[in-house]
Amino acid sequence: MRKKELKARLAALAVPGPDLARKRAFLRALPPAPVSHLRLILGQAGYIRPLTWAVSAGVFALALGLGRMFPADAVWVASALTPFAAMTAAAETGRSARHGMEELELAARFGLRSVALARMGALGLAHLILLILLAAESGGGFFRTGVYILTPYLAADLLGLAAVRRLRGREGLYAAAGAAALTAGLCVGLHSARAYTPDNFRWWLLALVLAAALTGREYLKTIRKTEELSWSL
Amino acid sequence: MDIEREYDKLYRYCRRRLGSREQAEDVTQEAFARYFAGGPPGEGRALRWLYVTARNLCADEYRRRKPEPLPPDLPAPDTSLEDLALRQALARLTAEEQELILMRYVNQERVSAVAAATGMSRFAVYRRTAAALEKLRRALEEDEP
Repeated sequence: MRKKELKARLAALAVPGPDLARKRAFLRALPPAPVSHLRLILGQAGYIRPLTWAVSAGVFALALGLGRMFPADAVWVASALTPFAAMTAAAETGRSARHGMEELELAARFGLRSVALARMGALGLAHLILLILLAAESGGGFFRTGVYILTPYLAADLLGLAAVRRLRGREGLYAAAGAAALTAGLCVGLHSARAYTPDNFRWWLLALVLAAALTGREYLKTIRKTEELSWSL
Repeated sequence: MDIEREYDKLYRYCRRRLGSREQAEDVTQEAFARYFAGGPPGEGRALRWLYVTARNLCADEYRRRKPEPLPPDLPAPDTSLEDLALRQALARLTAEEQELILMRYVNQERVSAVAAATGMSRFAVYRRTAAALEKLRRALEEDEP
Protein backbone atom coordinates (compact mmCIF):
# COMPACT_ATOMS: atom_id res chain seq x y z
CA MET A 1 0.00 0.00 0.00
CA ARG A 2 1.32 3.45 -0.91
CA LYS A 3 1.68 6.10 1.81
CA LYS A 4 -0.62 8.49 -0.06
CA GLU A 5 -3.38 5.88 -0.06
CA LEU A 6 -2.82 5.18 3.64
CA LYS A 7 -3.07 8.90 4.50
CA ALA A 8 -6.35 9.11 2.58
CA ARG A 9 -7.72 6.12 4.50
CA LEU A 10 -6.69 7.68 7.81
CA ALA A 11 -8.37 10.98 6.88
CA ALA A 12 -11.58 9.09 6.08
CA LEU A 13 -11.44 6.91 9.22
CA ALA A 14 -14.58 7.28 11.31
CA VAL A 15 -13.45 8.18 14.83
CA PRO A 16 -16.04 8.34 17.62
CA GLY A 17 -16.92 11.94 18.34
CA PRO A 18 -18.26 13.72 21.42
CA ASP A 19 -21.81 13.57 22.68
CA LEU A 20 -23.70 15.73 20.19
CA ALA A 21 -26.32 17.09 22.59
CA ARG A 22 -23.70 18.11 25.17
CA LYS A 23 -21.49 19.62 22.51
CA ARG A 24 -24.32 21.70 21.02
CA ALA A 25 -25.50 22.90 24.44
CA PHE A 26 -21.94 23.99 25.28
CA LEU A 27 -21.30 25.73 21.96
CA ARG A 28 -24.64 27.56 22.16
CA ALA A 29 -23.67 29.02 25.53
CA LEU A 30 -20.31 30.30 24.30
CA PRO A 31 -19.76 34.02 23.69
CA PRO A 32 -18.64 35.05 20.18
CA ALA A 33 -15.06 34.13 19.31
CA PRO A 34 -12.49 36.78 20.23
CA VAL A 35 -11.12 38.74 17.28
CA SER A 36 -7.70 40.37 16.97
CA HIS A 37 -7.43 44.14 16.42
CA LEU A 38 -6.00 43.67 12.94
CA ARG A 39 -8.80 41.33 11.93
CA LEU A 40 -11.40 43.76 13.29
CA ILE A 41 -9.87 46.63 11.29
CA LEU A 42 -9.66 44.54 8.12
CA GLY A 43 -13.21 43.30 8.64
CA GLN A 44 -14.57 46.80 9.20
CA ALA A 45 -12.66 48.11 6.16
CA GLY A 46 -15.04 46.00 4.11
CA TYR A 47 -18.01 47.90 5.53
CA ILE A 48 -16.70 51.30 4.51
CA ARG A 49 -18.74 52.43 1.53
CA PRO A 50 -17.13 51.86 -1.90
CA LEU A 51 -17.92 55.53 -2.65
CA THR A 52 -15.69 56.59 0.25
CA TRP A 53 -12.80 54.50 -1.07
CA ALA A 54 -13.47 55.74 -4.61
CA VAL A 55 -13.47 59.42 -3.55
CA SER A 56 -10.26 58.91 -1.55
CA ALA A 57 -8.53 57.10 -4.41
CA GLY A 58 -9.86 59.66 -6.92
CA VAL A 59 -8.54 62.60 -4.91
CA PHE A 60 -5.07 61.09 -4.60
CA ALA A 61 -5.03 59.99 -8.26
CA LEU A 62 -6.04 63.52 -9.31
CA ALA A 63 -3.32 65.06 -7.13
CA LEU A 64 -0.73 62.67 -8.56
CA GLY A 65 -1.90 63.25 -12.14
CA LEU A 66 -1.94 67.03 -11.83
CA GLY A 67 1.46 66.90 -10.13
CA ARG A 68 2.91 65.03 -13.10
CA MET A 69 1.31 67.39 -15.61
CA PHE A 70 2.40 70.53 -13.78
CA PRO A 71 5.47 69.59 -11.72
CA ALA A 72 6.03 73.19 -10.57
CA ASP A 73 2.58 73.28 -8.94
CA ALA A 74 2.59 69.68 -7.66
CA VAL A 75 3.04 70.54 -3.98
CA TRP A 76 0.34 73.14 -3.49
CA VAL A 77 -2.12 71.29 -5.76
CA ALA A 78 -1.67 68.13 -3.65
CA SER A 79 -1.98 70.27 -0.53
CA ALA A 80 -5.27 71.78 -1.76
CA LEU A 81 -6.77 68.45 -2.79
CA THR A 82 -6.07 66.32 0.31
CA PRO A 83 -8.80 68.05 2.42
CA PHE A 84 -11.36 66.25 0.25
CA ALA A 85 -9.86 62.90 1.26
CA ALA A 86 -10.05 64.02 4.90
CA MET A 87 -13.72 64.83 4.34
CA THR A 88 -14.44 61.19 3.52
CA ALA A 89 -12.77 60.08 6.78
CA ALA A 90 -14.78 62.57 8.83
CA ALA A 91 -18.02 61.71 7.07
CA GLU A 92 -17.47 58.00 7.73
CA THR A 93 -17.46 58.57 11.50
CA GLY A 94 -20.96 60.04 11.37
CA ARG A 95 -22.44 57.36 9.14
CA SER A 96 -24.20 55.45 11.91
CA ALA A 97 -25.92 58.61 13.16
CA ARG A 98 -26.83 59.64 9.61
CA HIS A 99 -28.72 56.41 9.06
CA GLY A 100 -30.18 56.24 12.59
CA MET A 101 -28.25 53.04 13.39
CA GLU A 102 -26.41 54.13 16.55
CA GLU A 103 -28.59 52.26 19.04
CA LEU A 104 -28.59 49.10 16.98
CA GLU A 105 -24.81 49.21 16.53
CA LEU A 106 -24.32 49.77 20.25
CA ALA A 107 -26.12 46.51 20.91
CA ALA A 108 -24.27 44.57 18.21
CA ARG A 109 -21.37 42.15 18.76
CA PHE A 110 -18.83 44.88 18.09
CA GLY A 111 -20.04 48.07 19.79
CA LEU A 112 -20.31 51.36 17.97
CA ARG A 113 -17.10 52.56 19.61
CA SER A 114 -15.03 49.61 18.36
CA VAL A 115 -16.57 49.85 14.92
CA ALA A 116 -15.97 53.61 14.68
CA LEU A 117 -12.37 53.20 15.86
CA ALA A 118 -11.72 50.33 13.47
CA ARG A 119 -13.13 52.23 10.50
CA MET A 120 -11.19 55.38 11.40
CA GLY A 121 -8.10 53.20 11.69
CA ALA A 122 -8.65 51.49 8.33
CA LEU A 123 -9.35 54.71 6.45
CA GLY A 124 -6.65 56.65 8.29
CA LEU A 125 -4.08 53.95 7.49
CA ALA A 126 -5.05 53.92 3.81
CA HIS A 127 -4.87 57.73 3.67
CA LEU A 128 -1.52 57.73 5.45
CA ILE A 129 -0.06 55.35 2.85
CA LEU A 130 -1.46 57.49 0.02
CA LEU A 131 -0.18 60.70 1.68
CA ILE A 132 3.31 59.21 1.98
CA LEU A 133 3.15 58.17 -1.68
CA LEU A 134 1.96 61.63 -2.67
CA ALA A 135 4.66 63.35 -0.61
CA ALA A 136 7.31 61.16 -2.24
CA GLU A 137 5.98 61.77 -5.74
CA SER A 138 5.33 65.51 -5.51
CA GLY A 139 9.00 66.51 -5.25
CA GLY A 140 10.38 69.40 -3.21
CA GLY A 141 11.74 67.23 -0.38
CA PHE A 142 9.82 64.45 1.33
CA PHE A 143 9.57 66.06 4.79
CA ARG A 144 8.68 69.55 3.56
CA THR A 145 6.08 68.27 1.09
CA GLY A 146 4.74 65.94 3.75
CA VAL A 147 4.12 68.90 6.06
CA TYR A 148 2.43 70.89 3.27
CA ILE A 149 0.14 67.98 2.50
CA LEU A 150 -0.58 66.74 6.01
CA THR A 151 -1.45 70.14 7.51
CA PRO A 152 -4.54 70.86 5.35
CA TYR A 153 -5.52 67.17 5.61
CA LEU A 154 -5.57 67.35 9.40
CA ALA A 155 -7.24 70.79 9.41
CA ALA A 156 -10.05 69.53 7.17
CA ASP A 157 -10.34 66.37 9.26
CA LEU A 158 -10.60 68.48 12.43
CA LEU A 159 -13.32 70.74 11.03
CA GLY A 160 -15.16 67.80 9.45
CA LEU A 161 -15.13 65.77 12.67
CA ALA A 162 -16.37 68.75 14.69
CA ALA A 163 -19.16 69.30 12.18
CA VAL A 164 -20.19 65.62 12.11
CA ARG A 165 -20.17 65.46 15.92
CA ARG A 166 -22.33 68.55 16.35
CA LEU A 167 -24.73 68.24 13.42
CA ARG A 168 -26.86 65.16 12.91
CA GLY A 169 -27.81 63.53 9.63
CA ARG A 170 -26.94 64.88 6.21
CA GLU A 171 -26.29 68.36 7.62
CA GLY A 172 -23.09 67.03 9.19
CA LEU A 173 -22.02 65.59 5.84
CA TYR A 174 -22.66 68.90 4.05
CA ALA A 175 -20.80 70.78 6.76
CA ALA A 176 -17.81 68.38 6.42
CA ALA A 177 -17.84 68.96 2.64
CA GLY A 178 -17.98 72.70 3.29
CA ALA A 179 -15.02 72.43 5.69
CA ALA A 180 -13.02 70.55 3.05
CA ALA A 181 -13.85 73.16 0.41
CA LEU A 182 -12.93 75.95 2.85
CA THR A 183 -9.56 74.35 3.63
CA ALA A 184 -8.86 73.74 -0.06
CA GLY A 185 -9.76 77.39 -0.79
CA LEU A 186 -7.43 78.48 1.99
CA CYS A 187 -4.61 76.46 0.38
CA VAL A 188 -5.24 78.18 -2.97
CA GLY A 189 -5.18 81.54 -1.15
CA LEU A 190 -1.94 80.59 0.62
CA HIS A 191 -0.41 79.67 -2.72
CA SER A 192 -1.40 83.07 -4.13
CA ALA A 193 0.14 84.71 -1.05
CA ARG A 194 3.36 82.74 -1.71
CA ALA A 195 3.10 80.90 1.59
CA TYR A 196 4.60 77.64 0.20
CA THR A 197 8.15 78.98 0.56
CA PRO A 198 11.05 77.91 2.83
CA ASP A 199 10.75 81.26 4.70
CA ASN A 200 7.29 80.36 5.94
CA PHE A 201 8.00 76.71 6.66
CA ARG A 202 8.22 77.21 10.44
CA TRP A 203 4.62 78.54 10.37
CA TRP A 204 3.59 75.43 8.49
CA LEU A 205 5.27 73.28 11.12
CA LEU A 206 3.49 75.18 13.87
CA ALA A 207 0.18 74.79 12.06
CA LEU A 208 0.80 71.05 11.64
CA VAL A 209 1.50 70.53 15.34
CA LEU A 210 -1.59 72.55 16.26
CA ALA A 211 -3.79 70.73 13.73
CA ALA A 212 -2.50 67.33 14.88
CA ALA A 213 -3.17 68.12 18.54
CA LEU A 214 -6.65 69.49 17.89
CA THR A 215 -7.55 66.62 15.56
CA GLY A 216 -6.45 64.12 18.20
CA ARG A 217 -8.64 65.93 20.73
CA GLU A 218 -11.55 65.89 18.32
CA TYR A 219 -11.17 62.13 17.78
CA LEU A 220 -11.21 61.63 21.54
CA LYS A 221 -14.39 63.70 21.81
CA THR A 222 -16.00 61.66 19.04
CA ILE A 223 -15.11 58.42 20.81
CA ARG A 224 -16.32 59.81 24.13
CA LYS A 225 -19.62 60.65 22.49
CA THR A 226 -20.17 57.00 21.59
CA GLU A 227 -19.42 56.09 25.23
CA GLU A 228 -22.06 58.57 26.40
CA LEU A 229 -24.50 57.00 23.99
CA SER A 230 -23.92 53.57 25.51
CA TRP A 231 -24.65 54.99 28.99
CA SER A 232 -27.91 56.56 27.82
CA LEU A 233 -29.19 53.29 26.35
CA MET B 1 -11.99 28.96 12.92
CA ASP B 2 -14.72 26.35 12.52
CA ILE B 3 -15.57 25.87 16.20
CA GLU B 4 -17.65 22.72 15.74
CA ARG B 5 -14.93 20.96 13.76
CA GLU B 6 -12.17 22.07 16.11
CA TYR B 7 -14.24 20.95 19.10
CA ASP B 8 -14.43 17.43 17.62
CA LYS B 9 -10.70 17.37 16.92
CA LEU B 10 -9.81 18.56 20.40
CA TYR B 11 -12.21 16.05 21.91
CA ARG B 12 -10.55 13.20 19.96
CA TYR B 13 -7.16 14.40 21.18
CA CYS B 14 -8.31 14.54 24.82
CA ARG B 15 -10.11 11.21 24.54
CA ARG B 16 -6.91 9.57 23.34
CA ARG B 17 -5.01 11.06 26.25
CA LEU B 18 -7.53 10.47 29.03
CA GLY B 19 -9.50 7.48 27.88
CA SER B 20 -12.72 8.58 29.56
CA ARG B 21 -15.38 10.13 27.38
CA GLU B 22 -16.67 12.35 30.19
CA GLN B 23 -13.21 13.56 31.20
CA ALA B 24 -12.35 14.26 27.56
CA GLU B 25 -15.52 16.31 27.16
CA ASP B 26 -14.86 18.23 30.38
CA VAL B 27 -11.31 19.07 29.33
CA THR B 28 -12.37 20.05 25.79
CA GLN B 29 -15.02 22.37 27.15
CA GLU B 30 -12.63 23.85 29.70
CA ALA B 31 -10.06 24.58 26.97
CA PHE B 32 -12.69 26.30 24.82
CA ALA B 33 -14.10 28.21 27.79
CA ARG B 34 -10.61 29.55 28.59
CA TYR B 35 -10.09 30.48 24.95
CA PHE B 36 -13.33 32.45 24.85
CA ALA B 37 -12.74 34.04 28.24
CA GLY B 38 -10.03 36.13 26.56
CA GLY B 39 -6.29 36.30 26.40
CA PRO B 40 -5.81 34.02 23.40
CA PRO B 41 -3.06 34.74 20.86
CA GLY B 42 -3.53 35.90 17.29
CA GLU B 43 -6.01 34.29 14.95
CA GLY B 44 -3.54 31.96 13.25
CA ARG B 45 -2.29 30.50 16.52
CA ALA B 46 -5.69 29.80 18.09
CA LEU B 47 -5.59 26.10 17.34
CA ARG B 48 -2.09 25.66 18.75
CA TRP B 49 -3.18 27.56 21.85
CA LEU B 50 -6.16 25.24 22.27
CA TYR B 51 -4.04 22.11 21.89
CA VAL B 52 -1.44 23.30 24.38
CA THR B 53 -4.17 24.27 26.87
CA ALA B 54 -5.86 20.91 26.37
CA ARG B 55 -2.56 19.07 26.82
CA ASN B 56 -1.91 20.89 30.12
CA LEU B 57 -5.46 20.29 31.29
CA CYS B 58 -5.14 16.60 30.40
CA ALA B 59 -1.94 16.43 32.45
CA ASP B 60 -3.72 18.08 35.41
CA GLU B 61 -6.63 15.70 35.02
CA TYR B 62 -4.29 12.73 34.80
CA ARG B 63 -2.60 13.74 38.05
CA ARG B 64 -5.87 14.48 39.83
CA ARG B 65 -7.83 11.37 38.96
CA LYS B 66 -6.90 7.81 38.26
CA PRO B 67 -7.06 7.58 34.49
CA GLU B 68 -9.41 5.03 33.06
CA PRO B 69 -7.84 2.58 30.65
CA LEU B 70 -8.74 3.49 27.10
CA PRO B 71 -11.48 1.12 26.05
CA PRO B 72 -11.34 -0.07 22.48
CA ASP B 73 -13.71 2.04 20.41
CA LEU B 74 -16.48 -0.18 19.26
CA PRO B 75 -16.71 0.09 15.51
CA ALA B 76 -19.99 1.16 14.01
CA PRO B 77 -22.08 -1.67 12.53
CA ASP B 78 -21.44 -0.40 9.00
CA THR B 79 -17.63 -0.24 9.43
CA SER B 80 -15.86 -1.71 6.42
CA LEU B 81 -13.35 -4.55 6.69
CA GLU B 82 -10.65 -2.17 5.52
CA ASP B 83 -11.41 0.23 8.39
CA LEU B 84 -11.37 -2.65 10.87
CA ALA B 85 -7.96 -3.73 9.62
CA LEU B 86 -6.70 -0.17 9.89
CA ARG B 87 -7.94 0.12 13.48
CA GLN B 88 -6.26 -3.14 14.42
CA ALA B 89 -3.00 -2.01 12.86
CA LEU B 90 -3.26 1.35 14.66
CA ALA B 91 -3.74 -0.43 17.98
CA ARG B 92 -0.34 -2.09 17.51
CA LEU B 93 1.47 1.27 17.50
CA THR B 94 2.80 2.86 20.69
CA ALA B 95 0.70 5.53 22.46
CA GLU B 96 2.94 8.31 21.13
CA GLU B 97 2.78 6.98 17.57
CA GLN B 98 -1.00 6.69 17.78
CA GLU B 99 -1.23 10.28 19.02
CA LEU B 100 0.95 11.57 16.21
CA ILE B 101 -1.03 9.67 13.57
CA LEU B 102 -4.31 10.86 15.06
CA MET B 103 -3.29 14.51 15.11
CA ARG B 104 -1.46 14.62 11.80
CA TYR B 105 -3.58 12.39 9.55
CA VAL B 106 -6.96 11.85 11.22
CA ASN B 107 -7.35 15.38 12.63
CA GLN B 108 -5.33 16.74 9.70
CA GLU B 109 -3.41 19.23 11.81
CA ARG B 110 -0.38 21.16 10.63
CA VAL B 111 3.04 20.09 11.84
CA SER B 112 3.31 23.32 13.89
CA ALA B 113 0.10 22.49 15.78
CA VAL B 114 1.26 18.91 16.41
CA ALA B 115 4.63 20.20 17.61
CA ALA B 116 2.96 22.68 19.98
CA ALA B 117 0.60 20.06 21.37
CA THR B 118 3.19 17.35 21.85
CA GLY B 119 6.04 19.60 22.96
CA MET B 120 8.30 18.21 20.20
CA SER B 121 10.30 20.14 17.67
CA ARG B 122 8.90 20.37 14.14
CA PHE B 123 11.74 18.20 12.89
CA ALA B 124 10.98 15.54 15.51
CA VAL B 125 7.31 15.60 14.52
CA TYR B 126 8.21 15.11 10.84
CA ARG B 127 10.60 12.28 11.63
CA ARG B 128 8.47 10.41 14.16
CA THR B 129 5.25 10.80 12.17
CA ALA B 130 6.93 9.43 9.06
CA ALA B 131 8.30 6.51 11.08
CA ALA B 132 4.87 5.83 12.65
CA LEU B 133 3.21 5.93 9.23
CA GLU B 134 5.76 3.50 7.84
CA LYS B 135 5.21 1.17 10.83
CA LEU B 136 1.45 1.36 10.27
CA ARG B 137 1.88 0.60 6.56
CA ARG B 138 4.00 -2.44 7.31
CA ALA B 139 1.53 -3.64 9.94
CA LEU B 140 -1.28 -3.42 7.41
CA GLU B 141 0.73 -5.30 4.80
CA GLU B 142 1.50 -8.05 7.31
CA ASP B 143 -2.20 -8.45 8.03
CA GLU B 144 -3.14 -8.74 4.38
CA PRO B 145 -3.69 -12.34 3.30
